[in-house]
Amino acid sequence: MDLLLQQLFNGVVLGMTYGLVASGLSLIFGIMGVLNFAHGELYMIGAYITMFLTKAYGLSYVWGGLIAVGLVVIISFVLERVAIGPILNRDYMSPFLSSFALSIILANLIQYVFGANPKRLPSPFEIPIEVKGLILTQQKILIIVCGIAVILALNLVIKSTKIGKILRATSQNVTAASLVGINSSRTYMYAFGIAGGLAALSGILLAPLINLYPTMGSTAIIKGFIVVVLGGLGSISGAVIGGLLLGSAEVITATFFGSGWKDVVGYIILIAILIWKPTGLFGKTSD
Amino acid sequence: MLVIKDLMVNYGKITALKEINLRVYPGEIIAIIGANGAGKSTLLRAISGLVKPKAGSILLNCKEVGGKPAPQITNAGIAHIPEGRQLFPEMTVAENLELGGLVLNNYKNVKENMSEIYELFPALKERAKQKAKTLSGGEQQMVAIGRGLMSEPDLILFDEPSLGLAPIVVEKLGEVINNLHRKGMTIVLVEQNAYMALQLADRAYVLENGQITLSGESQELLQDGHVLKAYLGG
Repeated sequence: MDLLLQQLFNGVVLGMTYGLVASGLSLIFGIMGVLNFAHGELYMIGAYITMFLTKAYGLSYVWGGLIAVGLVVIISFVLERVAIGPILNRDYMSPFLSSFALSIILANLIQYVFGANPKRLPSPFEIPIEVKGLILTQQKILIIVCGIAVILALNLVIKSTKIGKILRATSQNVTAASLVGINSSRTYMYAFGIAGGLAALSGILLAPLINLYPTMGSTAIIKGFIVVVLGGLGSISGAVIGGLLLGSAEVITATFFGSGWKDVVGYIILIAILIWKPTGLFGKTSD
Repeated sequence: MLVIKDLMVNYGKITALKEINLRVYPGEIIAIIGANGAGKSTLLRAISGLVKPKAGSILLNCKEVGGKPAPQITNAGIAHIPEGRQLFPEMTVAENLELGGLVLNNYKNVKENMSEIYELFPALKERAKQKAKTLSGGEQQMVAIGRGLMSEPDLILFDEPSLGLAPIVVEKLGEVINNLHRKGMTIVLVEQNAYMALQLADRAYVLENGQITLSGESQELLQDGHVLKAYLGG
C-alpha cells in the first residue's frame, strides 16, 4: 500500500510536468491551429539555459530558472516570427513541418554547444522529507505547487485579462478579431511566448530529477501529444488532468509490470482514446 | 468623409471590382444594392481592410486608408458589421461588446459606451452574461451592431444586416439604422433587400458584375425602371 501511494505521488509529480508541457501545446493549437513540434525543445532549452547560468555565472537554481523562462519566452517570440507566423495561413501542414524542422535544428544546436553527454542540473530542493512513511523531496513538492499555481494563473489570465480575451477572440473568429482592431499576428506571437514559457518552466522543474540530454525535448513532446489527445485538444484544464492521468498510469504500470512497460501504457491510451473518444476526455465536439 | 477612386479588387485572377468611384458625405446613409455575387461584400471588405485592393485609393477624412490592414482601419474610425454577424461565439455578450471597445484604450469610455448600447438594445442587457452563440439571430445582429458602435466609429459599414432575420426583426433593424442616422452617424448599407435599403438611404449605388452601373437619390432609384425590374420585383 505504501509503495503504491509512493508511486502515485511520483506519478502526480511526473504528470504535473506533462501537464505543463501539454497546456502550452494545447494553447497554441487552440489559438493558432498549429501542432508545434518544436515545443519540446523549448522545454529542453529552458533546462539547458538554467544549467548554463548556474554553472557559468554562479546563479542560484531559482534565479537561473527565472531568467531562463524569460529567455525562452523571447526565443519563442523569435521562432514564431521567423518560422511559423509567415506560413500560418498557407495550409495546416506547412507550420507543422516548419516546427518539425525547428525541433531538429534546436536539438542539434544544443548538442553542438553542450555535447551529447547527459548533464545534471542540481537543485537546492533535493532534501528528502518523510511524511508518514512517504518519501517526498522539496523539489517534488515544488513541482506540484508551481504546477497548480501556474495553471490557475493561466486560467485566470485567459478568462479575465485583456490579453486573455484577445487570445480567445482570435481563436474563435480571426476575421472578427481583426475587425475589432486585434492584430492577430501579434496575438499569435504572445501565445507562442506564453506556451514557450510554460514548457521551459516544466523542463527546469523536472530537470533536477532526471538527466539533461539534447533529445529530451522529443521524448517530452510525444508525452505532450498523448496528454493533449487524452485531455482534448485546445483544453487547458484537460491538458493538466490528462497529464496527471498519464503520469499516474505510467508509474502504476511500472510498479506492477516492470519499468520496461512504463512508456507503452501511454501509447495504448493514445490509440484507445483515438478509437473510442477522439475528442478527448474534456475536448469540445466540433459543432 | 469617404472618397473611393478607381478602386479595383482581384481574387486571384478574377476581377471582383473595377473602376469603383464612390463618395459618402458626413451624416449620409448610402445604400449599395445589387445581385448576389455583384461584389457588394467585397467592396465593404476592401474598405475595412479585409481584402487588399489591387489598385485605386480609399480616403477616409482625406487620409489614405486603402490597403492598410483591418485593425488599423478600425482604429482610423471605420466599423464594419460583417455579413453573418461574425461574433465571438463562446464569449459572453458583454465580452463581445467589450472587445468592440478595444481600440479606445480607455476603460472608462468602454463602460460608458456599453451602458449606452444596453440602453439602445435593452434585450442585450438581460443577456449580458450569456454566450453569444445562445442568442437568437436578431439578438446576435444587435450584438454585432453594438460591438461596432463600441469603437465610436465615424463611419459604419453594414453588410446584409437583414439576412436570415424574421420580417418583424428586419423592421426593428430598420428603426435602429434610422435612429443611428438621426444621431448623425454616417452609414454605408449593403443589402439584398433593395426595397428596405432604398427606403433607409439618402443615396444609392447599383453594383453589377463588379462595376457601378447606376447611382442617384434613393427616391429616384425607387422609380427607376431598371432598378424596379431587377431588384424590386416590379
